[in-house]
Amino acid sequence: MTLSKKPPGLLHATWLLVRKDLLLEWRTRARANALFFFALATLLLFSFALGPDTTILQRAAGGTLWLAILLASVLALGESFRVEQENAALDGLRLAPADARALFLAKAVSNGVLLLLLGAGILPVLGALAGLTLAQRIVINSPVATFALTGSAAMALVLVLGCLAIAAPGTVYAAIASNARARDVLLPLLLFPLLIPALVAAAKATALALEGDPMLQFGSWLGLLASFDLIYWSLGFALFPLVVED
Amino acid sequence: MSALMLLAAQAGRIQGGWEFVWAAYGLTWVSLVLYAASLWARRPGKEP
Amino acid sequence: MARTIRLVLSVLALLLLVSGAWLGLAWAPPDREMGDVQRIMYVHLPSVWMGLLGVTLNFVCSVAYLLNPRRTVANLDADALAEASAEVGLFFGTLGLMLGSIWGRPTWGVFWTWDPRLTSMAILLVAYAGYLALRRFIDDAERRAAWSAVVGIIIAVDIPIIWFSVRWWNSLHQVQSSPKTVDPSMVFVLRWNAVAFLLLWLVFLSTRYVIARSRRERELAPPPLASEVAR
Repeated sequence: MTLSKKPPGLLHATWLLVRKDLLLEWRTRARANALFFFALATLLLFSFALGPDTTILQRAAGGTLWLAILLASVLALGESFRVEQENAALDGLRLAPADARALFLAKAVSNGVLLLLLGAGILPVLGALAGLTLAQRIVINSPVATFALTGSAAMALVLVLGCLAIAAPGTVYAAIASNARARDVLLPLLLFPLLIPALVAAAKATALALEGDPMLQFGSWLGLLASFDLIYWSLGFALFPLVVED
Repeated sequence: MSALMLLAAQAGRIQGGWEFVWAAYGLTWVSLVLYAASLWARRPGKEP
Repeated sequence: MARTIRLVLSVLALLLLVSGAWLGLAWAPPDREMGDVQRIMYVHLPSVWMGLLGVTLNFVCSVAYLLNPRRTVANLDADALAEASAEVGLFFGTLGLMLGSIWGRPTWGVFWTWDPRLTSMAILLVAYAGYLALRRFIDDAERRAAWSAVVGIIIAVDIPIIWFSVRWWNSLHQVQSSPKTVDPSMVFVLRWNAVAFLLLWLVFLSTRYVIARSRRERELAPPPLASEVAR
């Protein structure tokens, strides 16, 4: 890489870091594979715990999906900083203050992408296990306009917003926990209560995308999720430098 | 007993329930004393 | 000086608490609907309020810490106060939650419902327990202060979000009756007990603050010289 006269801008630095992370992920696909199978195992556990009655599984599908993603995310997030720590690579990365922010965006984006792929991967499996179908049409009434989405579009939207909701605070907490004792228990202990609103919204919205939304609640839950994302991506962006700088 | 209470609640007035009141106040006092004791035990300057 | 103030406050708090208990148990009339179970309100509500007060103070201290430049005295104070307010708030909040549950049994028939207030409080308490755990697991004093301030802010920002989401989540089911205090004598007893709890909160807070502050000083003090240790 050539030395440039001025330091890379925020977006450019972010893009470089994301590329590095995703390339690393791709080259060592083992981690992503392991996460995927962990999430599958979680789905199986839920299925066994809730009983063979498919109607129960169907009703619990929204919650089950997001619990599986959430549990896998703890592993994913913990790993994402352990890699840097083991090679003391983090010191090499935070050379400039602006880099800390780029680091946050990059880590949060790559974690979010990983979780999104994970969620998209296990959704069809859950669909098969519980005999799920997507709703025909989901209508969102907003003050601006009324949107009509297909069930799959609605589901995709929930997946994206939900994974983003986990990624932002998860990245901040993972950075903190990776430098504390008892890090394996500290990360979920901190993350889970925080994410309860996002979990509630994502699970409800998923259930509506699967079963249909006669009372037009999907928009409200999506709005809650989107607000959560907005607030925590901003907050993470502002606070992350305080975590990684010395 | 609880069914009776539910019935009474719906009738507009809960009868009795003093054991809950005592439990509440008792819990309050015990907790306050225990926490105060824990603060006392941790006070600085008690180590040699 | 500070010690005498704390002593005086403690005695005052104790007096108010004892008299408040008598007021609540004997003097106040039974409620029209809730009967004598209403009396639990006189300890439940102040506990919850003190829990929330602790949480608020923790947020203020977290922000204050992050706004200050590093290594100032005020900074150490803010961090110690943050620790104290989190613990005291957690104590009162947990007590308040349990009292709410005890109140719920004869009123609603069950110890727990997904009532927005109870649920939000429960989530909050777990979150602050995590905050205190984080503080225990970081050994470096400055890192601990900075990182717990970050976590404190993140949790505090979540509080209104938790509140709204839980309310929506549970609005699909029945609405629980909420405690009402309309009778002026009841309001008086509630206020009396609230003041008692507030004084107690101040005593606990200042004591816990002193504990935290002295720990910080010991951590940041230079290690003793070899000649002193050998003595």
